[in-house]
Amino acid sequence: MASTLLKQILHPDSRPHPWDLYADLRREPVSVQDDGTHVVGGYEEITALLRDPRVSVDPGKAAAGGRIRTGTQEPGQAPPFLVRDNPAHDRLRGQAMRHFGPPELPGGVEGLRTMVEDLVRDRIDRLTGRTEFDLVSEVAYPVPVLVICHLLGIPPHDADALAHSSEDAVRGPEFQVDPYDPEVTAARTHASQELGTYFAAHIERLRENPGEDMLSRMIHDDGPRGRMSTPELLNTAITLFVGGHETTVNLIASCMLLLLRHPDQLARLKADPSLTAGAIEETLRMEPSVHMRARIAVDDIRVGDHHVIPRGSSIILNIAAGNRDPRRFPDPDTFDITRPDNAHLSFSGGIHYCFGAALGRMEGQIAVRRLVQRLVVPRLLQDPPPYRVPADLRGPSALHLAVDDVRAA
Amino acid sequence: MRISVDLNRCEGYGQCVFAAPSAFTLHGLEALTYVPNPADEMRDAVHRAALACPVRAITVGVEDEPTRAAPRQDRHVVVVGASLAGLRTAEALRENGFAGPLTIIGDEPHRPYDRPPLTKACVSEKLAPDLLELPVTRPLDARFLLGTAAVGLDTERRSVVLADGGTVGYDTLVIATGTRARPFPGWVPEGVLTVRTRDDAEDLQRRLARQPRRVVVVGAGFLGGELASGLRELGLPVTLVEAQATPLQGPLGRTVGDVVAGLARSTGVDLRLGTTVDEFVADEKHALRQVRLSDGETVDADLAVVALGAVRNVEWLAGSAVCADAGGVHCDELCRALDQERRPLPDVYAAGDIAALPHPLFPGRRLSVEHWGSAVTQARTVAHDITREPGEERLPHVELPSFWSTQFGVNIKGVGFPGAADRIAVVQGTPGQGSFSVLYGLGERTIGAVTFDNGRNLHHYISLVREQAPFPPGFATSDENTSPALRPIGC
Repeated sequence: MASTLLKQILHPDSRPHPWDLYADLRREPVSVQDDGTHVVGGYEEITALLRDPRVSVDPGKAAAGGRIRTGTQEPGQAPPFLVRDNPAHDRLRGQAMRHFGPPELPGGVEGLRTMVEDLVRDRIDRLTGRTEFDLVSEVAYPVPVLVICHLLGIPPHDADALAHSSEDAVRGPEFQVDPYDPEVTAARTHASQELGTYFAAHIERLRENPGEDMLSRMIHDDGPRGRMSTPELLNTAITLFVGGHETTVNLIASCMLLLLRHPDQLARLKADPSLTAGAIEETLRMEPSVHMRARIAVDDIRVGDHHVIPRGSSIILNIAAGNRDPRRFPDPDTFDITRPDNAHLSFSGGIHYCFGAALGRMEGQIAVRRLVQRLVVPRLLQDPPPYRVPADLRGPSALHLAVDDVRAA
Repeated sequence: MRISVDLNRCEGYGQCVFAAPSAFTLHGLEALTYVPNPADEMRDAVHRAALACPVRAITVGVEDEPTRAAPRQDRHVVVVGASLAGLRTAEALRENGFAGPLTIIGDEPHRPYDRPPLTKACVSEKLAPDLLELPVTRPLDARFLLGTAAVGLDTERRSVVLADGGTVGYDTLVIATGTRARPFPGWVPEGVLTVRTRDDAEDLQRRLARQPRRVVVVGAGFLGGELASGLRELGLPVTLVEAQATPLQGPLGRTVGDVVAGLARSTGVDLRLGTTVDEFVADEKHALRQVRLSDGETVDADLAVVALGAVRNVEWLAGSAVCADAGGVHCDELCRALDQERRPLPDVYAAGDIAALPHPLFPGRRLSVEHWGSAVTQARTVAHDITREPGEERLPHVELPSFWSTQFGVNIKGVGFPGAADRIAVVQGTPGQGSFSVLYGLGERTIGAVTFDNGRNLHHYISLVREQAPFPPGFATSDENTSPALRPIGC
């Protein structure tokens, strides 16, 4: 029976509390929507589809008229690895990964630790003397933005304007109530053009005057997989910029939100800071920064005993629903920072596993550890907090806190 | 601290490497190696690495300290064999709440250690074999009788006879004596080795430190390929001798074997296919000087490693009620050892390389699978059956064999029974051009799958093998470089 569940989920009113709708989603292996979209919310089903070679990320392979729109890429452009199948995916991702992580740069992210610690200390220092503030605009947002700017050689004073464009650019059509909404489409196109113009000029600057940053190295690299073309560089840089901060903002904010809602867990963490990594994993499970991913079936795919996702169909994987699947996680709605076997889906899986997961984790761990250490008697002034518009990149747009004091570092 | 990684589970995401780059190393697209005993100051980083693993494949061990609790009046379980299967059985017994006395008997003087690195990291990264002791996730509270081989079994009196003449009585027995390296069928001089144990690997490392002029590896199976690959990484000249037409032809067939041959040659291995060793030639001090091959050539070499497979350690069971032969200890699907009339012996089990079990994919046959993963899953089956409450469901061992091998820069993963197939189908990529996946068919059903640097898709192929999906497969994949091909396996 065709459902409108996805539209309810995508509606902004559902943002603060989508969990009951997600539970509805899990009632069957696949929830078929009135527009033909197949939505999946079970842990095992999502795990299998993320690793299924019959599943594509390329919108060009979607049947016309579905939720995932064909031809959303401008012609002549080189789409980023996020929406490329193999072999292009492995080549493009490898060309970028060389300058970020293993196998070629195993210490790439650990090498950023001191910089992230300094940034976090600076942002918390600025709160000294204040007893009320918005944690998102003061810490959760600026830290990841400044880190990704550092990585891509972007001057910090350009960050705000870019981040503003990025917010519209990430409003993917498949996650709008109406994927063909002309207003959203226009805003997205405009934002993409702005990002494109900025990064085209930025890449030319780094071509002339390379820095020590990752993007400069990508531009000037003659690695085993060859050089990226200029359109490839452009789209990879934009993908890293957008992916590098839209998600980590949510992670830091959501972790503090959960800790403040669960004083017992906050007390445990305060007493034993080595539990921070576990707190971040549990936040990723319960309040993932990315709730949904889109995929396309390139063949008929049977899910469970009775459901077949026909070739060409749009698939929405609701990983936030999978993360609370009681068949996989005992007491899935309980926030437990020492939860064992916490194999959540929040960074996806298969070949498209999040490129920047390690950096996001490190930023989250450092920010939360220092906030817990330095904020004296923090409490929430507004619960639930206001949420950002996107349903897929869900997170608080502000987190208003009161504190007695801010300790010195 | 001690750690281990279940490399069957590992999908090569490298998140542990990001978090603790001095403990974990990624090679190529998805092959992982790790330091099994990271220094204590790395505890935080290793802890973060374990939490970051997307498939939770990393085990961080605890100290195996005696709890000094008086054992409950419970059965005495004796595990013969102190390697992976024996250790995991003991661990699973404790996990299931078994509180009785537990004895583990091993012929080697060492506590259980991880063998796969002996032919991998111990060669290519000169990892010291004495670091390979396996971690435990809970105290075992077991009595270890090490350096003491079991030489006899009396199932009537429920007693194991030891090499020193002593006996150990049991209420429940677990046979996990595994295998030993198959020796070269002929005379061998000084300088011809096999690698099965820690001591073997230490011996190999000592000889490699003396910079041999050339190393001959006899047999291009999984271990032979890994050894040749590691020796090339050390920059040593290597001749790899294989009787069949390709490496890995028996377990994986000729199409895949041809790919491995190409990879081996591209790294500079002198690969001799369809060739055997006629004779090892020694100098006046009885040390290896040359290897005479069946193709008429003679190779100058001062070191040779024989990797011709394994022999099951069943001799100590001769004369007992247990039905055992060169194929291993005959078991039922619950890992219960059978007697000569093929009836389960009361309270006698087998697990690991030595256990020959039926599998639902091959009714009527008994298969012994020498894979790391089978030792782990069979240990669980045994422990469940031993600790099962009356009336509690029995859990037969139905897991598919799964394996991995890292050689020549590629991570090979597989599942099912590729060696029993008659045809293969390429389903992703093109063999010989980077990552690819193949399915193995027997008649009209899928019975195995192998991926080369495509382990993140193996999950799907496991389900195809499990449900014996129709063969040849007819599905399309998202990969744009797939050259679908159907070929005989080529024996």
